[in-house]
Amino acid sequence: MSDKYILYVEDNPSDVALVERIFKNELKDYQLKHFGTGELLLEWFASMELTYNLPRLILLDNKLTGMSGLEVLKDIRRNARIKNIPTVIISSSVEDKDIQKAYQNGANSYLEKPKNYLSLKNTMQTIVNYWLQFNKTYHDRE
Amino acid sequence: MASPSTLYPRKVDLTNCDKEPIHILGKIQNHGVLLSCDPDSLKILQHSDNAEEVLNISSEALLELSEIVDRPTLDFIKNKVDTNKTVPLDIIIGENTFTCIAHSTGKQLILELEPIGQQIEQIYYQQQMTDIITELGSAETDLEMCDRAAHLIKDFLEYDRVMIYKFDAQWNGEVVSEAKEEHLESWLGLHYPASDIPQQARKLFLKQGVRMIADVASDSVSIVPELDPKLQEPLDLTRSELRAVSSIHIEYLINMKVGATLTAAIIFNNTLWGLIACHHYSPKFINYQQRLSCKFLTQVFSSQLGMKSSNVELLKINDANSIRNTLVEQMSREWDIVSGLSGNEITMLDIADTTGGAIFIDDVITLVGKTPTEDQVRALHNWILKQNDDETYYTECLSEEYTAANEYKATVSGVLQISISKIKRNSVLWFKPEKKQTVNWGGNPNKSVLINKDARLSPRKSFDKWSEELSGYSTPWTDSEIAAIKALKSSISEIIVQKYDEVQSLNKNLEQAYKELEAFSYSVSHDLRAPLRGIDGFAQIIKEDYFEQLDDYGQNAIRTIINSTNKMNELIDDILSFSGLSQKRLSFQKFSMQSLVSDVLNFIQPSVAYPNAMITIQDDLPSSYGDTAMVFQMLSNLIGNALKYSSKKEKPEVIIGYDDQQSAYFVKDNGIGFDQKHKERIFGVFNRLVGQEYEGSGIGLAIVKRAIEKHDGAIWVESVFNEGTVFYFNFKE
Repeated sequence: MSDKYILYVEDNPSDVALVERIFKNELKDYQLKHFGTGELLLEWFASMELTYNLPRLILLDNKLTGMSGLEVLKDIRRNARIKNIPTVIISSSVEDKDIQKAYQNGANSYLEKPKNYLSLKNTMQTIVNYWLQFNKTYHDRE
Repeated sequence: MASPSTLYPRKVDLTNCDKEPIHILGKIQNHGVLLSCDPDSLKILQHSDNAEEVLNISSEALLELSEIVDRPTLDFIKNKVDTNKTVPLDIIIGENTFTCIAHSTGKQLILELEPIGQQIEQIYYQQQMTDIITELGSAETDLEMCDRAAHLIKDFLEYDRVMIYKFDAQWNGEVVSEAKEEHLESWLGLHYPASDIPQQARKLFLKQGVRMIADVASDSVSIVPELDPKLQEPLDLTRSELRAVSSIHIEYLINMKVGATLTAAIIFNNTLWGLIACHHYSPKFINYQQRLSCKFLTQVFSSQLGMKSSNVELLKINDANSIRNTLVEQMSREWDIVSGLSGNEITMLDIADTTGGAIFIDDVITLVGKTPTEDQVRALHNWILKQNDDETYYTECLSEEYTAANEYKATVSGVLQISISKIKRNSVLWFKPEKKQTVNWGGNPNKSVLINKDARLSPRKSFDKWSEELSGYSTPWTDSEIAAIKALKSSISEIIVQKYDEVQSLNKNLEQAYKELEAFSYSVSHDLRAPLRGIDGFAQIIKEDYFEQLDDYGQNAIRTIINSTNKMNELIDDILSFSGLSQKRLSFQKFSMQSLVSDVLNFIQPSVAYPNAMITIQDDLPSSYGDTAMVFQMLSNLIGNALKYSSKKEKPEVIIGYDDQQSAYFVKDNGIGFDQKHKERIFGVFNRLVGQEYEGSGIGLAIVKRAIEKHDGAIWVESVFNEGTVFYFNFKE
């Protein structure tokens, strides 16, 4: 797996299809790994032995079947191995209290889910560009 | 307020007669002898002037009672006599036997000696009494009972005419039953004005029960000396059997050509209901025993009559109760006072003997049955409220108190009004029609008093029937009717209270339901986003990857899908902001309207979409108080609309300002305008007045109105079709 990979948790298949297509067509340099639920994501982390080559970014839908995005986020932040991976919450809610909770639980960014394909494409390009090109990630190397 | 008012109005009254001191006249009738003794010494203090002659004794014997009666009689009298009359004693004085009736005035001991008269066998007498009581008891109505009583008493006492005479509330009397000798003219149905039986005579009837005048034409006998020698006052003859008759009454009887009378009082509930009046056309003496029987019979008759009336009254009350229950059930079932009282087979009119009515609830009038016009009833209602501060008003002669009622007295002469709420002027009125009635007076009541040349009163001389038509009177409001209506009133009040509570709780439920609905539409709109993104996304994918493979129709279809999803997204935006308004927590603060309007214009960027538009913001817009986010949203809708609907004009103009006269901000355009008849509809959700040439979801103005409501403010619109529109709005301070 390339060292430029991104984890994406989303349970809506058509959204997944659209985002995967955007990565395939517009963000070819990056790999996208998709999980249908938060539980699957956490299992995957647990099975992973490597402490290096961590994903560079997690895109986390808030409204999921099973654990909610925020619960998953809390788990991530409790896990010393992965707690510093930038995590972006993508939600259809723009209510203040949802946004506040997300940041209180350690979200690095909060985005409103784009309403159509074109803005979804723009958003994905911008966000990947920012977090993987410009942002300097925290490293625990000794 | 008039209690059952004067049914027979008369100005003249025999006031002299009313004042005549008939209980201390100092005279007795001449068929008996009266002796007044000192209760201790039994010395005779006063006696009737005929004593020597009738008793056939010397004037010396008239000093001591012991000279006249024997020892046992004397002891009996001394020990047993009090103010109640004792059982009469038969005493023999000289060669004659007399009935002696003794009583005490409290000061003196009075003995009255009467002829013993015709004696009836005890057995025969008891049989007679039993028959009479049985016959009375089997009468079905009170009128039938009166008829029977009249006949029984006539048979028993053998007077020429026996009448049952009933008083009304003003003490005028009516002959309700009569038993008479065939050759006599009937007086049945005749009315007698109150002055015919003066007040103090009625008082005496209450005490004495039975009163006999044995010979109208005979001279009365004086009591000598005139005054009690010790007390120096006239003897009180209140309880005397022999008491003489006032000269005015004698004259009255002579005018009627009556020779002897016997009168018994019909009393129940301590009130004089009427009289049994027996007339004889020659002198007639009835002995004390028979008079006592007559008194007893009258008591039986009175109590049976009382029971019968109470029963009739009770039946009426029961009927009224059941009607009231029905009305209450109707009112509560329909949650509607008016239709409950007037909309069913049983109406408010059934609760009393009425033919019309009116209900005033919250200034809405409902007429029931036969009534005057609505305007007349309104005027009447206003008059009653002005006149009368009580909860209830009633009259049986409205036109006498309220002249305007003359116009409709045939329909309404009796009125009963109850106030349900004084403050709200809520009332219910009942009407009774005029009761045209012919009253046969025993003599013209308006000429009952003749003033003689020597200015002495003399009672009427004419007893010919006199007819008078009473106009403007209804039948009176009975106590049971008034009670029933008052009871209904308290039921109505209870229902109103219940209804109020019910409405309150319905309101609460409605509010809750509304909130839930808004939350629902909020979440539904939200959930529509995801599938919509799918439709749009895959349409975009087709457009990107397969567009060239499609023919024109297919390409157009793809464009339409993408456009439609865009429109749907805008619609969702609007619905979300509309339903989101109630969910937002507001933060009120003072803000500058001037700078908020500038912010809105910066946000809208009109120079991009509407490069031709000329926008003017007046200087010095007053600052305001409210939730700026919400006012921002509201202003952007109003200004957005103004720009949109003026965009097709040659020189679009939009002015934002403040109108001092209206005390309101305004947003004015010179756009397409609309017909003023839509000025309310325009604020409704999804109500659009324009076609597809102008974009929009039809929610914008609903959002504006909602925002204004959240500020307790007001918004209104003035528009001229094709010339422009002005929206005015303000916020409550």
